[in-house]
Amino acid sequence: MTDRVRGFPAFPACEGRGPFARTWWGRAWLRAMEDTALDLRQLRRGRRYAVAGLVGPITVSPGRIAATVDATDGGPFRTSVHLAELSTADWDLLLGRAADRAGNLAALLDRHLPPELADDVPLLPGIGDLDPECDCPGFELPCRHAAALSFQVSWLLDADPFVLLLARGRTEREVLDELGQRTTRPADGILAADAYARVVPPLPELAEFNPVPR
Amino acid sequence: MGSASPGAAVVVEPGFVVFWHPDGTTPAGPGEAGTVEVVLRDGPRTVPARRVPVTDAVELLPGVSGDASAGFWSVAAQAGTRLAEAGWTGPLAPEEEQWLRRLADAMPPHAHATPLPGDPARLPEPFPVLLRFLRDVAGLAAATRVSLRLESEDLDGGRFRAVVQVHGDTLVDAEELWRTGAEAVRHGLLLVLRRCAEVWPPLAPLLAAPVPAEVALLDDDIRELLGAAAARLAELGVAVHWPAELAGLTARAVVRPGAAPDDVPAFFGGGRALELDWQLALGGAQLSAAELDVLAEAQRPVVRLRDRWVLLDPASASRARERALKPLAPVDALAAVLAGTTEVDGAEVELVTDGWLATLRTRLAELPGPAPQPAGLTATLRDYQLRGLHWLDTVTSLGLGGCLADDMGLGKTLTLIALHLRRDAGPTLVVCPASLLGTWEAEIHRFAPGVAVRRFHGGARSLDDLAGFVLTTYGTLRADPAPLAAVTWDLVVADEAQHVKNHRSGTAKALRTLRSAARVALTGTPVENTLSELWAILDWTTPGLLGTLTEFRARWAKPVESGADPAAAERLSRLLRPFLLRRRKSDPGIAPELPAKTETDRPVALTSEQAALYEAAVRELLAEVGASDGMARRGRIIKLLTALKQICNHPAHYLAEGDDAPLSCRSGKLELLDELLDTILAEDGAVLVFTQYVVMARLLQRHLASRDIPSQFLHGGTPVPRREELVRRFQDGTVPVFLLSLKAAGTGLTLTRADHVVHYDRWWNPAVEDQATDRAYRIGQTRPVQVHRLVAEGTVEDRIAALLREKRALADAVLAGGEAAFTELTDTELAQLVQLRRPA
Repeated sequence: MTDRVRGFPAFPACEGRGPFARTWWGRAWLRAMEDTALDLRQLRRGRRYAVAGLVGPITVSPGRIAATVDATDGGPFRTSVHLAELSTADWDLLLGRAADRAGNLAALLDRHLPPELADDVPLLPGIGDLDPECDCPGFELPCRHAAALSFQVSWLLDADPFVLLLARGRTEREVLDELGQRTTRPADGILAADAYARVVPPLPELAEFNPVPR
Repeated sequence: MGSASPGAAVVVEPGFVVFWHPDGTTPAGPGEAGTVEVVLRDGPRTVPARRVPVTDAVELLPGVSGDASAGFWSVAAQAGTRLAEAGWTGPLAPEEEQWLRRLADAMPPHAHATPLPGDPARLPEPFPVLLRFLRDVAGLAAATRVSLRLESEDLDGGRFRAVVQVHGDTLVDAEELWRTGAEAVRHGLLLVLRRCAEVWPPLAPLLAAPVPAEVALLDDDIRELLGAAAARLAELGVAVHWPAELAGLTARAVVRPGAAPDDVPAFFGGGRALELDWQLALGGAQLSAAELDVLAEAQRPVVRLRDRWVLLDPASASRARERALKPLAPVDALAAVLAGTTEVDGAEVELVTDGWLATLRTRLAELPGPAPQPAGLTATLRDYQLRGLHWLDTVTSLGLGGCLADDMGLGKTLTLIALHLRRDAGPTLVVCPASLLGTWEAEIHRFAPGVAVRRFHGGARSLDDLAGFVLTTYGTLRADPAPLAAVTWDLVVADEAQHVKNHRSGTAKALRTLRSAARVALTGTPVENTLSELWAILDWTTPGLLGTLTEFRARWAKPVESGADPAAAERLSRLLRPFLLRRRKSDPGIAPELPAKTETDRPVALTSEQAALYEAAVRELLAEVGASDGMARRGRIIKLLTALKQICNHPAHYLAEGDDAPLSCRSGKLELLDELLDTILAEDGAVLVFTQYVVMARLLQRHLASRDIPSQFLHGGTPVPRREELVRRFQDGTVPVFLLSLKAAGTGLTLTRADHVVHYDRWWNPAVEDQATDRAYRIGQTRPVQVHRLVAEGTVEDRIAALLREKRALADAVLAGGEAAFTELTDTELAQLVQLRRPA
């Protein structure tokens, strides 16, 4: 379904932009990518590509983050980073924690990821969890293109942790609906049988409804 | 298209209207096809459906021939439209809610047939469903104004809890919101609470629960919530509501005036400071010292007092401990008592007093009654002038001074002369613009004939044997303040006081060096419109009353001018009222007292340039007259008179200077005209200016243009259609100054908008002048007209004006022929008539 893929416009060139990740979850993402890398030169080039705005629009979908990297080295190349979706049990644990404390939902709505949600749940990638793929001729993992993409993804994560939740398998709407259902108290409502049994009075006259001008 | 769904039923979802058929067939018509789960009489069922966005459905619904549910939502849609048209923002008026509850009660089962989540046996309550739909129709975002309701079942034990509630169209507790409320409202509430917990951590436990319903608070929390925490929450838009059974304390400041001073003016000039105390009250009843001690020693924020539980906020607690406030200087105390408030730590606090200060406050605040007519005044004061005199007498005898700001024409000069006679306590110094010296002198002579008047101006600068009035100008005071400052005056009057609105100017500083028992400012311009000008004037008449300019701006001018605090204007008005008296000609109590027409001669001095030209012209032309006879003699007399009148008008008029000649500061008449126009235009008045000379009118037109005063000129050569256009522009208020040559003002001119007439030069034929004046007031005129006749002092104009005043009948006979009459005078008579007499 289309709402399971979110697209983000390409970042313009932004020389002199500050540190790549400002949030703890953004930094965890970068660390996972950097710890995996064997060739630090690829990382440095990737960082330069990211800052130079060489990464095209980024699409995020469950298990996959992808973009085209337009490089001076023979590109453009299609590059992506794969990561595992959370299991149903892990989602259940995560959503249960979120529903237990109203503050967790409040934080998410404030575009902030409460650390508690990631406890015991493999929400944030660790070393080796990010699986880069690129059609460039290079063989390094990650290559400079995948590294550039990963650097820019940390910006997206900083701005909105729901991007990470989507990559792990659930859309924002799905998460909010699930939390809504978990936290909603049963409404009293009225018994359907009573609704059908009662005598409905006639509609009041619309002419009698004259709202006060504000 | 709606008619394509006969028998359709309708339910609503957030943002959508859903069409379906109870018989399970597929509805026709617009919208996105899908299914909907509904509960029918015989149980739940999933049926085909079409979803139409609410905004589109509003137009569609009235045309649908569906079942009762479609009829219901059609009426609801129209009700929502009416709410939107009334500018609905969320809360409902009681009568609106009443009708809507009746509507909800009439909701047929099919209209809310979608079951509650997870419970196919139950349907949602009608009213919340209806409200959500109405909000969608009106395009309202869900309201999330949040407040905390404090509750306690155990005040003794001090156990409170804060219950979270949301104000939307109705007031809902968070607990209920998590049953029936919209997701958007819940999310909005969560974000607000997240901020609240950041600024006030005791609320954090709300967010640790699945539903942020309520949180227990301790004594310390309550104390904070009564103080700084409430303000921090208020910044987030979150109000705190305390239980009604808990009484709150109110505080006000009390000035303790002590024994009445023997010499009130000296006391306000710098007596002992007055004590200022806090006074706390519970439900309007003042607390005793013992009760304040109880509050001062209280350990808990809830205190038992007078058989009630009382909320003791930190501010009240500290006021109960430290009851004394910083003492007030006498004039500050008076200002605070008049305004009814004082400022403590940047907040306005109610203030009261008792004793002699309260009596004085009443005396100053009440409207002045009429004073008796003072002895020695030859005029009969009108009622409002007697009231003005009473007021001036009151404020000056208290040494407080004041500003009389009546409209021009109400007799400020006369009232002031009456005040001098009433006080009868020493010399009065009048400081005024040079162009008004003559008017003052003339009026004093006329209305208080026995009173000495002298000018301290030009060459006449004697202050020996002081008595009566001394008249000086702002320029003289600025240039030569020392002799005037060495005198102890009874009264100093600043006329046209708007001239000293810049308190840093040399004139204003010199004015402050003058010593007197009382000070009065006169102005005809609406000073109350510019608060900093008003400050400058009152800070001179009543020093200290309004504080420094910086204090005045911060405390009064900014809140009043920005409109941020409507009560500030009322407080300021209470403070100013005793020191500023302003009446308008149009006031109901005044207009009937005014005569339809008032005529005043306005004597002005020649400038030194004019005087030199005048004397030279007299010398040369009299010699020419003496050396001729017959027709030649007559011609030369006319030439002489014309020359003198031109010089009196303006040197540039006589010298026939070009269009680039400077005009300011060269003619006494022009200076006075400027002064008059400033006041007239500030009053939004309209004025006719008559002159005999087209050249002079052109000079005036140029001068006014350089001062950005719109004017127009009508003369004998103006074609008729143009005349009509000029008259129309004057009558409709487009142009407030109308220059006319007297000859041109023939028949057919109706200029009833004018409330002032200025005769810039004299025709010497009263009948002609009267006829011109009459254009302004005779037909349809509802406002009184003031006529100002400008007369150059010591000149032929002055002499003839006196002749006209004193021997009107004789003058009529002599002057009926206008200037021609003068040609029959002997050389000696002529010389006496025209020679310049300088003031003594």
